Amino acid sequence: MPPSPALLSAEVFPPAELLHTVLDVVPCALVLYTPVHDASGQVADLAFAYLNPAAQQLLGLPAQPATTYLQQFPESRGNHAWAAHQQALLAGAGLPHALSYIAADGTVQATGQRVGSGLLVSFANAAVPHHLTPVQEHPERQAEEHSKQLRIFDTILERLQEFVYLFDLDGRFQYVNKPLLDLWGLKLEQAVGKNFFDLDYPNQLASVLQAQIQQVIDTHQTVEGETAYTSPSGETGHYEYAFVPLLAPDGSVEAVAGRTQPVTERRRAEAALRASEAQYRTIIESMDEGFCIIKVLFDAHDQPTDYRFIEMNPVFEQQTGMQNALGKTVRELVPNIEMFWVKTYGQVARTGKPMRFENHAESMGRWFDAYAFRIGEPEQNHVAVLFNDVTDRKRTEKALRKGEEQQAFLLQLSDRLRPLLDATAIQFQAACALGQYLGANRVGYAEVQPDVQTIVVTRNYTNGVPGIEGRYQFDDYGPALLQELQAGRTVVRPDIANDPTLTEAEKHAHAVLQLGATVNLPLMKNGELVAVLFIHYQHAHDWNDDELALLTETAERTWAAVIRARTEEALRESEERLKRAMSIETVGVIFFGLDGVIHDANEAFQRMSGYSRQDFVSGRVRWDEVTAPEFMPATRKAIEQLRTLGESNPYEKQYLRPDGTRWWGLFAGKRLSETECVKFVLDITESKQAEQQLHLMNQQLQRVNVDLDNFIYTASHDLKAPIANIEGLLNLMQEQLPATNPLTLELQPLLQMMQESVARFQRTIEYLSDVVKLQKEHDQPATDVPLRPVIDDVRLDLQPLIAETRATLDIDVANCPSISFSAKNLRSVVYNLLSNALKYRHPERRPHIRVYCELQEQFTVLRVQDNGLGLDAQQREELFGMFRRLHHHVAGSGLGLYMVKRSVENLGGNVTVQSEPGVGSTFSVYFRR
Amino acid sequence: MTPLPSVLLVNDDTTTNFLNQTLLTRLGVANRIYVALNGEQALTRVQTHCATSDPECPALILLDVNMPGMNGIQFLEAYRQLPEAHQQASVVVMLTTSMHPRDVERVQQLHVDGFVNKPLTADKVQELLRTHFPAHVNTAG
Repeated sequence: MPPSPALLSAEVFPPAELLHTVLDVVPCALVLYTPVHDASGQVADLAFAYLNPAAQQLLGLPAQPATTYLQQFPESRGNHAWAAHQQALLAGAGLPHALSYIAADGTVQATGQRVGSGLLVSFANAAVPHHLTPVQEHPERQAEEHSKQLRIFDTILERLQEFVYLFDLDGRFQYVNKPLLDLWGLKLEQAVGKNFFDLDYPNQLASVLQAQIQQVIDTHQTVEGETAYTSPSGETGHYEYAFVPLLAPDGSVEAVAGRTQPVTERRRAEAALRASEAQYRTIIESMDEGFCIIKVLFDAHDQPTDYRFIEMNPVFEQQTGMQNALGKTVRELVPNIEMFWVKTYGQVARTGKPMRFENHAESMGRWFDAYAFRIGEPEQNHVAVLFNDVTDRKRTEKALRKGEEQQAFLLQLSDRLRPLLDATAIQFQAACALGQYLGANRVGYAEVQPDVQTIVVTRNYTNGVPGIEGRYQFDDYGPALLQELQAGRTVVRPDIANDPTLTEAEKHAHAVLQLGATVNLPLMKNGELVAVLFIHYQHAHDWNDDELALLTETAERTWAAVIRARTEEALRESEERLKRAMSIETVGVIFFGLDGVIHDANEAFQRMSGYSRQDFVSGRVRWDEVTAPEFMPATRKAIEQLRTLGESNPYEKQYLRPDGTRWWGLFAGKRLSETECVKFVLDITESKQAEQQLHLMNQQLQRVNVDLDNFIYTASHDLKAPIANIEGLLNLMQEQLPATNPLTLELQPLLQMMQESVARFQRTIEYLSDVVKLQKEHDQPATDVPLRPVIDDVRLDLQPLIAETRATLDIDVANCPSISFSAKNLRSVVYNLLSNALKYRHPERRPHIRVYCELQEQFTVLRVQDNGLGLDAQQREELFGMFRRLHHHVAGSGLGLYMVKRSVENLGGNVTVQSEPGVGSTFSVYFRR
Repeated sequence: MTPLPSVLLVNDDTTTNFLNQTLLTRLGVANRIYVALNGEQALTRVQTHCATSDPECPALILLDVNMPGMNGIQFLEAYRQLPEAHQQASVVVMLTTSMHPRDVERVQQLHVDGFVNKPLTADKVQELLRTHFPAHVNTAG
């Protein structure tokens, strides 16, 4: 027993009310009988207790007729139908018994079963037949108690073939009758409290259903629908359903009842209903082709003038677009209908000869494929027309033809572009082809400049308008143009003169170029706008999608060809460049693998290395063969650098020729790919030799310097001893000469001259020693020496000479307080310059000496200016030479300025002189700062 | 002054030796003035006479640098190898002209008592005696 009634809250669903509602809702005919007992207690008849609306309709009786079964169906008494009813009543509650009722259209199957002490009869689900024989009313019975009614209710619902169910206000099942439970394969308690989602209905269907339940709750209106559903056991069916609001006495929705029935069944029934109709109608009604019967109308001259629609099938409206055509003439519906149709049908009506044709009804905007044949009697002028709207097919065919044309155009275009090598020529040829094909006035490519604001048009195709080669600003043609193009969208302007998006100025800019209509197609590279394909018409022009698609296709193809051409050109250029670069006479170029095999080498390397090209190309030569063994470690290091860094530092190494001779190369390499490297080699054998020679010379020079040093030392030393002896001997001789000897007087001047010669000899030797000493002091450290004290000190030393010559000294060195030099040498420099200025004074004027100083960026410049004898050009040249004495009247070694110059130059400085004979000289000493 | 017992001139230049000998004699510096023409001769004399208290052991050696055979520096090296007593008897003064810097360095390492620039003069001799033999000068004084 289904426990369902217990689950139903009597408070929510007052059983009496629920029962009534359900009985009203179910489409199935249900009848409740109350047994009428005779005196012996036998069931003598069945009184009608209640008929639901479906049963009322079926049996043609009111809800509670005051009549009985036998009164209504007296003929049952003699057949098994009454006996079956009796048996059903006598059987256990809930055991169904097949019953049958005789209706006007035939036998109706029903099921009877006892409920309480009454009998429930449910009629099989069939289209409502003509009602059964009505019978007299039966007195009304008292309502059963609630629980009893509920059981009855459940039993009723259980027996129905329809699905009946209830939802609470959350859209969850409160009750489901057995047929639906069976379909789900569930028990009632498994279904109660669940919604469609919980029951694994497909999501979309469940959503729709749940929403509809909510709609019923919200609107108080019944919602009907139809759906396909496949049960968990795989049974697929098509169902019609209705959700009905159950209203409380106050008018609010208490619950939602639902009923569902399989539609497949009903359709079958409907088909059966129409089975009596003529065969052709069935076919015509069900086919997808349009069908109509027309009556052709003729005028007095027997000319067809119009035709009237007298019958049509359901798809007629859809096929023709004509609504409510029945009874109307075609010219009423389509006043400008082509006479072709009237004449053609007129001909069919007259001749009785069927015609099949395909024609364009321009007035209707449709193409039809039609088959017309006369029907009925000839004088009726009835023509049946079977037809199809083939507009889509026609359009497709047209598009197809156009597509073929375009395909052919594109193929031609490709053929035309393929042999072209020059990018500009490709663009121009494509523009010409496109211009001719489209009948445009101007077609061309424009390349976007790096500023992305300007565009440059080169050669373009023109027809009836001048070319527009030149540079243009995008924004002159409306700001939207560049924006759209940059976004990769084609800009189509079919009627520029009337384009509301353009300002007058922009229209004018278009007009200047005679642009009535334009298409601008963007050509993108890496998301950047690089060029534009433009098509211009002198006048307004409409483009269809096909044309635009063709433009896009052409633009892309051409651009691809342009890119290809440019790439090839660049490649040719780079190959040519490489070839030229490799033909260089002085740099050897080698291609080799990281495995050590040399693949190729240019002529320069062949000449350097003594190998032939064949040696390299054959792969016979490895770098370890051309490298002198002691340079292999360095070579391996370079290869490792190439492998890891892709580049090797330049280094020098010795190569081996096949004959074993060696040559020096300066080597630098670069990796070209995973396996191949290139290296550049400079033959540096000669410079290496020169370098070696230089090295040898330098060593020799150093030795000579040392020798010279020793020589001067030795010379001065070795000369000093004998000259000291001569001096000593002369002194001794002078002492020992007896003063009284008459010879003494004569010898005295000679001795004195000899002593003077010895003295000069000794001085010369001293100077030589000084030079040697100066060389030694080469690297005396420089310190910051205060200048003024040095000058003052020298001035003090020279005071006797200053006094003697009555010289004036002007000293101003405040702006260079110190000089970076060796203190001893600085004193020597100052001493030499000052003493020279005094010594070489002009005989006719008092010496005036200015000592001043100046700071330059790199030097501190000390200047000593005099008004002395001055120097001529030749003297200035010889001035700083060793042992040069330019004035014989003044005592000096000829070493002073030489030593000044040497000591200053040793520390990166310099000495210069400006002089004018008879006027004076200025010596400038540049001390490095 | 009291003359020194003996002075040794070490020089290969006989003229220099003659002049120096004349000068020293004139100044009465020593009782005996010996001459050695090279280092070997000088060393022989020192080894022969300086082992004991012998007036023949020179109180002053005036040593030239450049000499054939054993030169001044080599002599000094050998001299410094002698026992302490042998050396104490003598004051060694280098008699030089200009010296090569590397020689100066070497000589200083070998410890000489003084340098005197050639030529030797009366003043230089006096100065030398005052420095190294003050007792003799004072007695004269």
